[in-house]
Amino acid sequence: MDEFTYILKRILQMIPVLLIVTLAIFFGMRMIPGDPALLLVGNRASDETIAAMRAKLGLDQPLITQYLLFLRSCLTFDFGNSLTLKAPVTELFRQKAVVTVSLTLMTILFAVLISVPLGYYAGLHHDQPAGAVINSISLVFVSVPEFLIGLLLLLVFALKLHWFPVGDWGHTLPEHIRSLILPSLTGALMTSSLVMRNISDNVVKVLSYDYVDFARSKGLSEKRIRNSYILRNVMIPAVTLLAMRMTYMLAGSIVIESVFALPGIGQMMLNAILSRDYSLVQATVYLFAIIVLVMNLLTDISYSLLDPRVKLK
Amino acid sequence: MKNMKKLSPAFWAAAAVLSVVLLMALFPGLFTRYDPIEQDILSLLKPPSADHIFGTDNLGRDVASRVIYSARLDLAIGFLAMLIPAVTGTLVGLLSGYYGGRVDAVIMRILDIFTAFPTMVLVIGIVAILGSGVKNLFIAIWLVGWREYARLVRSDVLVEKNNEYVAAARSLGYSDLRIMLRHILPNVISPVIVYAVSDIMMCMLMGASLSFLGLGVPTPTPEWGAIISDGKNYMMTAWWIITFPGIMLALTGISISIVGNELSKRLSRRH
Repeated sequence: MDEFTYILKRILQMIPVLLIVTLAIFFGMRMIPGDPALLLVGNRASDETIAAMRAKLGLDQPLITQYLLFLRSCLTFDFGNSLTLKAPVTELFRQKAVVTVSLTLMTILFAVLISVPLGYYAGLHHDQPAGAVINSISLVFVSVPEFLIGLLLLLVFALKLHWFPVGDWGHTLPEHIRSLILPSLTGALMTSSLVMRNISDNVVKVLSYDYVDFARSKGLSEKRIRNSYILRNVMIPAVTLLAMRMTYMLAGSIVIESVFALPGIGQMMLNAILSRDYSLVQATVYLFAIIVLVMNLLTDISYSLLDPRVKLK
Repeated sequence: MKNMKKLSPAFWAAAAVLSVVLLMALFPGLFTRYDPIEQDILSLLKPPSADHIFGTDNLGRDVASRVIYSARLDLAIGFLAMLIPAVTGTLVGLLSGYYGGRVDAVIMRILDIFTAFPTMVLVIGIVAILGSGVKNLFIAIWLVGWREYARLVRSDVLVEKNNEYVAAARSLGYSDLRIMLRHILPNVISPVIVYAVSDIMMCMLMGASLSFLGLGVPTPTPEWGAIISDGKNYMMTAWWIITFPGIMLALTGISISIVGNELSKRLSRRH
């Protein structure tokens, strides 16, 4: 019951945060220099055309009316049509989200496959060369920007070896998956470096605890100690970190999508910013904010589910 | 200083790399005789040779001199973009943790709102509002970067302020400001320093990434991310344009991380 009250409280707390988020987005967008109507009809348009376009965009209304209209669309998730892409914003977001969400899930999958065994191994062998090597590799991938790793993978595996398509999302599921492998790997290398280090540090820490010594003195096999004592304690912070990275990836895949020319949300937002597509940028940033808030809540809940010592309050 | 000999070879290598990059930033003219912006239409996309050791780009500019002149801006972005948020975030965290109550509640709510936007989206959004350029890049990272420092310091101050030395300082009648800055701050600063070093690296990468997206440093200003962004269209034919700035960016980032790691080991051993 306590959990239920906590979750309800957290959801209620989101309301004022989201309200201020809408204010920040709305007035932030209005501060961008340049008239979006002028941008759409072109510099040489007549005054009447510009005025008509302003009216069509609702820019001739008082600011407060414009804000209330924006607020209404935030509540109903109906953001109207994009100015540049001429399609409903919500529908566009849904279409592009398929790419970005798949990219994120595949990145996390790769990251788990890389980081869990290597991090665990590095932790158990932290005083041996193998552990040091794994730790050094993770340091490298944290310190190199994703676009550089992405370009390198693109150059070698797509342009030179032709194993993967270049900038082609494809039409069928196998094609989609194929086009996502290199971008996911790019994201996974950085994420798994962070997770790997986290796991390895925690293994070292847990190994020093008394209950591990106690388990050994009870005569439990080394395998049993590793699986039921160490692994479980180490996985809790790792899962939290992975969840945080997932939130980051969902919203921060702009760079990777740009390197690999993937038609995801990040690309759409970048183009929307460059072409001053107000409605599209506003809606995208707002939806991002909701995703982040919900993901943060889910992260906290999963943390308490995994670790019985953590109580939600 | 007596611990000098315990420093790892990796640390010395990193320090050497950073010294060279720093020298490039301070005296780029010592390393190259070419102008980083001057175009030479007679030598477009030339591979590395004795004349142009890193080759030339699509406008005939000497890649080596562009890479060298970039060091100043990239280091400046890393360092300056870290500095302001580190100071403001630390002060905010001090105030929030020390006073608690309403001050804390207000600051935490502001933090919540900033946290609702993903970092990259927030930075790109701010750059979109202000327009691209070096100055606006700084402003965007400043507005975003303080969050981690505030959170880090606040949680430590919450623990630290219950210590006896704080009560003692209070009973001596010291002002809150003096207790915060002279008594509590020195005890919570170590994790801030460790984070700040890795933050230099992260800010540098953020600046390079924004330039790569075309939202950061304007052309033709030499900056590693911007050079890579320009060169990526010639990746297949002129590998040298993106390779050398890429190596510099990677080496500098890795070196800062190694120095930060060493620092964090040292500071945690002392506690």
